[in-house]
Amino acid sequence: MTSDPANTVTDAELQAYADDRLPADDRLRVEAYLLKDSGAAAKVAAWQDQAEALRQHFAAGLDEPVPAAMAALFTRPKRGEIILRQSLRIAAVLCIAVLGAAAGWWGRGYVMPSPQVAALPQEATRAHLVYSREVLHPVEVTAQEEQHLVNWLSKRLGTALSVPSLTAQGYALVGGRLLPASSGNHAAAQFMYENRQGQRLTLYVRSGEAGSDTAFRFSSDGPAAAFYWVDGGFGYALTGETGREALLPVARAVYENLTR
Amino acid sequence: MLFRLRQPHPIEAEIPRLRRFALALTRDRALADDVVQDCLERALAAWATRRNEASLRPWLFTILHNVWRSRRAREGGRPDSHPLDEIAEEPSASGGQWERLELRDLDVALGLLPEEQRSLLLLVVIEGLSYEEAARVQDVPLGTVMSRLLRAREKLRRLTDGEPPHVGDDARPHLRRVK
Repeated sequence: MTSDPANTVTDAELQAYADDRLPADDRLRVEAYLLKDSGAAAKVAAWQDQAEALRQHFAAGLDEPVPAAMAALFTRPKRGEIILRQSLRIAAVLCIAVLGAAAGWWGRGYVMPSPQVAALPQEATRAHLVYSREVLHPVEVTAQEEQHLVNWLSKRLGTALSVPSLTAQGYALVGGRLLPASSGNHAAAQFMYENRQGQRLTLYVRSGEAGSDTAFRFSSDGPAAAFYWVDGGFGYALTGETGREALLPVARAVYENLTR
Repeated sequence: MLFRLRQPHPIEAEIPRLRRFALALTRDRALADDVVQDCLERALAAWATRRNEASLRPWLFTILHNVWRSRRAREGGRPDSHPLDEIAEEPSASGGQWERLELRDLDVALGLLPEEQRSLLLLVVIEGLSYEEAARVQDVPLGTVMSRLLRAREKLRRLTDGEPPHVGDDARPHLRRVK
């Protein structure tokens, strides 16, 4: 009798029955089957008891208060970044409409970075996303050969680079690599840092910045965020996926370290 | 915030469930919260581009599961891979210890399940995700979810009945770890 297809029930169906996920027709069929197969019926009953025990066991886990660090993600104003950005965009549009071209022109150099500078965090973020995920070869030259790394990249970028130490921020240098910059024949260097949780930051340094020095700016694209600035013909971007709040003090440390 | 009154974000209400799921995955409170923090940041960053057809909870669980997997891959220094829970799933304790272990405690028994089995039980039985949603969270085919769930249930049943876990686990033979 058990070979009759109408009379067989699969383990998947028994589970779906125990979980109450079957449509009514199938449920009736399984119920009829369970009347004949006491072994299967015992199994289903055991699963249901087990589910009840699990529900009781896990119910307690929901009562704990939410840790402050998590709640802070939702209460800190910056976390409305998207809303803020949209608000700023609307505000910018209104501003231009109301104040006209003059204000727009005046505001352009002041508020918005030049296209080349705006490309800096994008380049840095792309490089960050590619290499920070790399398990086997995150860097070309590791921190064990720090002096060699610094000499090499300094030579290629045409300046005496110094690698900022971020140990006070909990990040150790992993190493670095050479990259092509997006404009001209310029090169870029990427230094990678990692903290004890395995979160990685990259410092991207680009040569050939024609424009004047800029202030400290923030850019966020997808999971990654970057602080960037131009100083003395070089563009710098610190990129990470730790969120703006965690990134800011590190970026400040880098900025102070490099522009001193 | 200047432009809006503060209303609770829909994700906030899910935090306790995310923490519970992360704890079931990691079995370590501090690590679990670290993973949840990471998950929340990613979810918030992706919030604007989230497609609405997927319901919130499975979406968040999927992000959390991915965060945990990539972190484990990074810390283990090995490429991300599905755990071989279908083969080498037994805890590497020698047989004699089992008789002396009191496995009535459900938490102890859960700790002996492979991580993917334990988290799947939570997703389906506790969180009420559909089998399809659970398959998306774990990034495996539906058939794998059903067989994994079956193994989880049967193994947990044997553990809480106090039986040694290696008796008749499956119809097919096991590769056993040699110590």
